[in-house]
Amino acid sequence: MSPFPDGPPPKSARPTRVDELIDGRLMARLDHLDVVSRRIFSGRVQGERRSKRRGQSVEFADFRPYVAGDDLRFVDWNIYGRLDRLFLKIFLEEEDLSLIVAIDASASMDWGDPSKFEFTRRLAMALGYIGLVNQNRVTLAAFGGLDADGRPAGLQRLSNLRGRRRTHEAGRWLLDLEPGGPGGFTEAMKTIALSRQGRGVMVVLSDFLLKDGYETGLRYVAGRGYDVFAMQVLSPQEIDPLKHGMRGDLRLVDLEDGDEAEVTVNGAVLQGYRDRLDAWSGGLRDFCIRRSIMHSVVDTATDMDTLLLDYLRRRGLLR
Amino acid sequence: MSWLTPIFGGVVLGVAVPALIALYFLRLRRSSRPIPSTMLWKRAVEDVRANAPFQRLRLNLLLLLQLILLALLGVALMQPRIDAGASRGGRTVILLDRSASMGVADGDDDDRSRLEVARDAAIERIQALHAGGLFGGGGAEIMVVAFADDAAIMTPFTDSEATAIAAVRSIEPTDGRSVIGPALELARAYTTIVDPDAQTAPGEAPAALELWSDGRIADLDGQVLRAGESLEFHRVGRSDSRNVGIAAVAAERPYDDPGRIQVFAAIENDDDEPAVVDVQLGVDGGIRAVTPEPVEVPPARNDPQAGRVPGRRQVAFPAFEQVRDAVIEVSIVGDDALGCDDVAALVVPPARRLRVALVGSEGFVLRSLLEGMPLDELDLLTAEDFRTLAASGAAADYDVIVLHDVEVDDLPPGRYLSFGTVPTVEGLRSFGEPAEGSLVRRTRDDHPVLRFVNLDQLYVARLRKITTGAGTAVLVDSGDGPMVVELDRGSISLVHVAFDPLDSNWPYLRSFVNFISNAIEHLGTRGDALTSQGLAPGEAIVTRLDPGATDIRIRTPDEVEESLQPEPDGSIVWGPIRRTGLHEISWIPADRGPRARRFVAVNQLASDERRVAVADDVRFGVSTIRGQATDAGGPRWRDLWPWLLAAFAGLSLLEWRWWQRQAGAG
Repeated sequence: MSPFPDGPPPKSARPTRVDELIDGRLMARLDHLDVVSRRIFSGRVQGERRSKRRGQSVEFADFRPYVAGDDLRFVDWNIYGRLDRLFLKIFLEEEDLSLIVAIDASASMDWGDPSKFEFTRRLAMALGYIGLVNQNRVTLAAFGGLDADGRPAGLQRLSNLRGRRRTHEAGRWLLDLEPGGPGGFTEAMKTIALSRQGRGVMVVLSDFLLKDGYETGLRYVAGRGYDVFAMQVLSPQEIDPLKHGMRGDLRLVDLEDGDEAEVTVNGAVLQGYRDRLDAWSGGLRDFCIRRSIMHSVVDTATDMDTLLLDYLRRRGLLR
Repeated sequence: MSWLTPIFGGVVLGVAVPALIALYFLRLRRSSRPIPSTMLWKRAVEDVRANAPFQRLRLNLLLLLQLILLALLGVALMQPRIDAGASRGGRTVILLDRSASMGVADGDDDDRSRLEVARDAAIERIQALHAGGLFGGGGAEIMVVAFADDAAIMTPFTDSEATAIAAVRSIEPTDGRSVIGPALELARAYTTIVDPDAQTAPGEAPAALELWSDGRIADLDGQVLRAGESLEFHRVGRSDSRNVGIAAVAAERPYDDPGRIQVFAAIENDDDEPAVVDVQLGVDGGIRAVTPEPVEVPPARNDPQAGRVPGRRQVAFPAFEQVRDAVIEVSIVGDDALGCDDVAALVVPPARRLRVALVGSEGFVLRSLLEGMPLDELDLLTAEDFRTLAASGAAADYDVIVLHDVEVDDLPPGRYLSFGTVPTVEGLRSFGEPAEGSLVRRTRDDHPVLRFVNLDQLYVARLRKITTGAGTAVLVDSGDGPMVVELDRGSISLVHVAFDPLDSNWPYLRSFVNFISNAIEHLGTRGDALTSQGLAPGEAIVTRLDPGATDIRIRTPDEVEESLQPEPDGSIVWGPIRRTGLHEISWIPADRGPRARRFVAVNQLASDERRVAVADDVRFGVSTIRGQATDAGGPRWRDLWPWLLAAFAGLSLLEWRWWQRQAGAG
């Protein structure tokens, strides 16, 4: 059993190559998957998605009365012959899907065994690959994190990638992320919402242990054309601290703000912690349900194959 | 279990434990752990603290270890002790030897006397027997008996611990011999309940006997433990203590020069090494002579027949002029284990010769014998003269009146030596026909009258049969009844020989001369002369003062003064004597003159007490009881604090390791 981590994992243990984020075997298995949106969004170019926009595809959608200025090519003359009224045939136009994967790169994510940040990077890489393979417009975003000078970097983005050939670029971008600093979740969500380019699926990967709360940030992105998936990534040490050596007289130091809490960890305190974690996650789930956000808790000890090929398919994010 | 210093340990615990807990609150050493967010933990702790303010102290092994360490230290400071001996319910008799040898100051390393150590040990034993605390059930019943020459019940069976302890504390030392027989009889009398109405009923279980002594007990040979009796012997003292003592002392006025006194003494050494001592002679408080050279007393030896025989050396001081009475004191110069046998005293009466009357002087044998003695005056009286003398009350003017086969109806006050016809006096009566052909069966050789008197060859052709009553002692016994008796009726002292010497072969034996001489001297010097013979502790002082004496007091060697009341016949009785030395009796005579004084010397000359080396065991008949050593702190108590400190050290190590582990983890 892993000991309780004493801090962030050493940098030497972090992946340095793209194939360490996603290997060929996994890529081969992900080739058959696609990102599913529970809604149909319009896109900028014709893609492989159905769009609510009626257009020039071959898939019939509906009729509507003709109004002046409509394209006469889409008048259904058969109906006109039967009813003597002009109706316009409306077709579902196939559009490309916008996939935004937002990664929490704050200091709190750089903890756990396996590390939450590394797990999140690998998951983002896999989701991005699926999007790229399926010709979706993929945007990777990271909030929190540090720049090259070690200062808080704010929101970082790699936008509008499309096609399998951009896979390596996406991987390099993920590898260059340096976790640390405060989260800035609300500001990041606000920025993403305001700079929306088209509609699509947004996957937020975070532990959601945000002292300022997650509600405001999620409100920015919910209901604005995004089909949002909130994936709460927690390490095994957070889910069950006792099993991982969390006991005794401890001074707990918050990785993000340096806040300290003197705790004598015993049965009662551990039970209280578990109750608070359940309440926190339950509150997040309730909040998400009310706003049509899909919420799920992911243990970093979960096997990536199982997560992608089984769990997320059942949750409806992939198919 | 008992505690020597419970308050001290309690105070330390009362201060240290709260201080430790407070320190834990203030300076609890915590391991530092970075975590993603303190948010949930803080809320969890707040929830728990709302219900349990002291949760920080829960399951803290380090604090628990330190509290245990403090508890061990505090308890160790209380000095707990357990009774290593078997605690016992039921009835226990504590027998405590208070004889002279228990005064030897080798009871413990602090040179306390054996009696002091024995008292403390007995008190601890009482506490152990009553141990058990509030819920210990019924306490033991304890009886305390102190013994020396005689036994005294300090407390009968009591279930009160305080009463038993007070009884032990009240035991005072004596200079007497150690005789356990009376103590055992007393204990048995109290432990055996005889119910005449329930002869077949089961008796009380015999009490357990516990004896504190040095094992030098004079009458052990005659004692046996009865069925069911058990005895524990707690040995007090050391086996290497040395002692040299005075075994005998005597003072004589030479026959031809009564104005001089010659003093003899015998010194005994019970050690395996020879002893060299100086012997000093004191007269009336002043030093008269010291042995010109140190006296070397040979060591004790083991005789196959007699057992251990102490080394003995006789000392004779040159005669010195002393016409008047004198207090003679012989002492050994220097310190040894036992002090009371280093001094022996005698009171020698003034030089004077006796006035004797011989009544019925037809027999030439007695007359010629008395005429040959250095008497002041010898009057030959007929029976009629004696009756006249008795009627006039002048019989007491004679020191001794010798009655030779004289019938006396009413014996007047005086001192008498009589032969043949039994005088009419209470306690002595003639009966039946005289016995013919009697031989001596038993004699009291230790009596002064029989000193150097060998009666083995005595043959009595015609012996008058007599019966004796209270106050009469048989000095010589035959198969046909008493031959020689002594009677003391206060104002009348009588030595009676139950046959006429002419009816025996006694006049032809040398013992007859010695007997007459001893008897005249014994009777003639009786009264004031009593003081000339040293008494032994345990005996009683019995003497007669001048008629009309008032304000009679006695002062003991330890300067305690008591008032005495004379008996109706003018005698005084005081006893038993506890300490050796000179006892002073003083009174105001009838003529209201200056206060008169008389000294009584009390000496401890018993060989049992002179032997101070503690015995390893005591033998009651066939039972040999091994002694348990008695230490100053009590033999049965076992201190627990060393074990507690050892546990403290072990736990300290564990605590240190744990602390290191936590520090390393932090």
